[in-house]
Amino acid sequence: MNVFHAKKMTAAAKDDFTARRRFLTAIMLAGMCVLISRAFFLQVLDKQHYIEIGEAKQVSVVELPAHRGMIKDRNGNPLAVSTVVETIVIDPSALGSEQLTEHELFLIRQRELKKRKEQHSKLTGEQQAAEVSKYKIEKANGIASMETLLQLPKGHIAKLVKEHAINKNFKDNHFYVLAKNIDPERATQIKSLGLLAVTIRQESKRFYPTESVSGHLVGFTGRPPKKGDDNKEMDRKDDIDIGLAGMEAGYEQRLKGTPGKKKVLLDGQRRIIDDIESVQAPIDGQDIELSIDQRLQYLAYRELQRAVTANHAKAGTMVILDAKTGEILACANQPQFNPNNRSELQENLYRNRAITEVFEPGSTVKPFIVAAALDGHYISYNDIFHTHGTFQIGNHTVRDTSNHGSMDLTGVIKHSSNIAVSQMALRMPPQYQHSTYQRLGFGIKPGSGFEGEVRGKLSDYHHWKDFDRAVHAFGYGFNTSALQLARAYTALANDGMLHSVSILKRDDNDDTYIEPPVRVFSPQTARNVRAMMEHVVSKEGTAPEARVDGYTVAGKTGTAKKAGAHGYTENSYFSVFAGMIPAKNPRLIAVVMIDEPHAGEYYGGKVAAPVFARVMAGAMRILAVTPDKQETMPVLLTQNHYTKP
Amino acid sequence: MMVWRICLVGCLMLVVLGSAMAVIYSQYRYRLLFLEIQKQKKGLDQSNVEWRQLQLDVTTLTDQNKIERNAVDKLKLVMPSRENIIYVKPK
Repeated sequence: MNVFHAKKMTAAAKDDFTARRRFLTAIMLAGMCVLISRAFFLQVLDKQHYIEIGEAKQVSVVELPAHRGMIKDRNGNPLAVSTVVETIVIDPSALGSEQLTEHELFLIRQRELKKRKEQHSKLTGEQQAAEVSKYKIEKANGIASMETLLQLPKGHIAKLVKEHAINKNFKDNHFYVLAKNIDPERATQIKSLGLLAVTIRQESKRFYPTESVSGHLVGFTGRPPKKGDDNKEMDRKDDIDIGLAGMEAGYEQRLKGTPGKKKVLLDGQRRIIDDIESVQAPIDGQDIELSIDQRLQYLAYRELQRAVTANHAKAGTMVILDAKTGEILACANQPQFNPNNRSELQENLYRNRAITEVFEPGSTVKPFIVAAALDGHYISYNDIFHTHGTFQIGNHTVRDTSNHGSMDLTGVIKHSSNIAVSQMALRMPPQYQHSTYQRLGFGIKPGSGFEGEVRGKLSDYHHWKDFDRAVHAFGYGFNTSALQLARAYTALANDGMLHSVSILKRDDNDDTYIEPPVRVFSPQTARNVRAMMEHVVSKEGTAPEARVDGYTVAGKTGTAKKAGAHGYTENSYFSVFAGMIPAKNPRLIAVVMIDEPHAGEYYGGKVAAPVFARVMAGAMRILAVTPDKQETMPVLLTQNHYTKP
Repeated sequence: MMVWRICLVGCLMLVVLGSAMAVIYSQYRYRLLFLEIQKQKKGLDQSNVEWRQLQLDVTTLTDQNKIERNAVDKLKLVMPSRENIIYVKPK
């Protein structure tokens, strides 16, 4: 019975355990399933998400800035250079110690001591107090030294700290830009002061070492207008400057370069501990070499400034071209503009007038009419022109400055007779006159590569009446930039071949397409007209002051009335001189334009010609051009042969 | 047959392990080399910055405007007049 009972009990117990075991197993299995599925979810399905979170906490991608290319002159002298400057940023909350307890101050001091590898632990109470007072003295001295180094008034930083504690908006800001554009040497001195709340950040800044001498050409860079002010926490992207005017703007793509990226490891305070890998290497911007010769540019700048001041003129411009290649060797403007000085960033100051502004060329175009008339056989070298001071065309009268009587072709150029060139223009068809001007580049952009160049205005010849044909012959009714006028003169300087112009240096090894020279006049005509233009600088000519001792000069003066809202004004003139030197085999071409001289003289021969002479005399020496008219200057013959070093 | 199989699997496992170690080592070498490159690049950058700074200094010091100002103000030099300029010509 007992056995039976026992058996019965055992079976019952066995049944109970099975159920329990099954139940437990099921729970355990379910738990395992939950864990496995969670692990699967974390490690397989959502793996990327967690990798990203982890990396975001420890790994970051930072930008590697690319250096902006330099702008150089033709001899490699820098005109625009980017260099590193330092920005001093302070955390006013950490710099002020008034609100901190003795213990907090000691903790800061302890950090400092640890950094200096001095004893910083197991200090007695007295030692701690001594360290805190040392810290206070060192900090006060450090702040005073920093103020001296940054040339800030004494107590300036203390005032900032106080202001920071009071001002609520200011309080949230832990970064305050104390000083910008600090040279690296001074920044190192500040760093050596060892102030904890001072951070030094490197920034790139564009410098223009030649200042206002080539300011109009190189232009300037700046930051596009953005929200926020300088004292807010600095965004590193703010460091990037872009070209806003001149060559800086025109060649932005070539100069700017491409910033790179690298992955870095960060610590808990998001400071960079180590580099991990390069994501993208930065590509520095390319340097660009201008055709400008800084020495000539300086001469042009100096003499133009002198002339504009002496003549109480509104503005002035001078362009010098290489007669053989069409490269722009100098391009100076007044009023001056210094790109280093941010207060001068006004459009009327930084505009490059030589390329972007037009004026009526006046008599400077007369040699073209003479050459065109000779080439077209509308006149001959033996022709005599009879003038009597005035010449009637319909209801209009053309006047000369005085009655020059009868004259030959040389006389026409020498005395700058409006009447004689009007007679020539009336002999040729208007279409021929127009096409000559057009082939000389008037009314067409010169294509120098400078952004914003103007084309000038040359109206359709179909609308020209006789008087229009006459006025176009003596430089009214159409307009040109100084660069266009200088370019047109290459046709006379180069025996009839008109050159394309360039602001970039033309290199023999460069593959850049250069527009080939175009024939406008026959070689003989160009040479003969040049010879006629040499008389302009003679004593009887209109510009004896354009003479350069030792050299033959060919040129032409121009004095044009300025057009106002109600026709031509009476007392405002453009005084122009265009010339080439040496006349026999021109090396340089220059155009000088003085806008509104108000000191009495206004004729091109009196106002603009002396600038030409002074600049060219210097330029000939700089370029070591052998004098071709030695009888006009004292010559010292020496035994020894001078060899160029 | 079974023994061979076990041997083969063992060998393959060793190869896999070896290759994994090689990957780890190459990754480690890559890190070291990258750090070295970065160090050199920093040095190059520093030299570049210095070079640009010196270029700027040279240009500023040799600026003709400045030289002329110093020549006139400090050295009291004057620009020779037209008549005083002589062309020196070898015989």
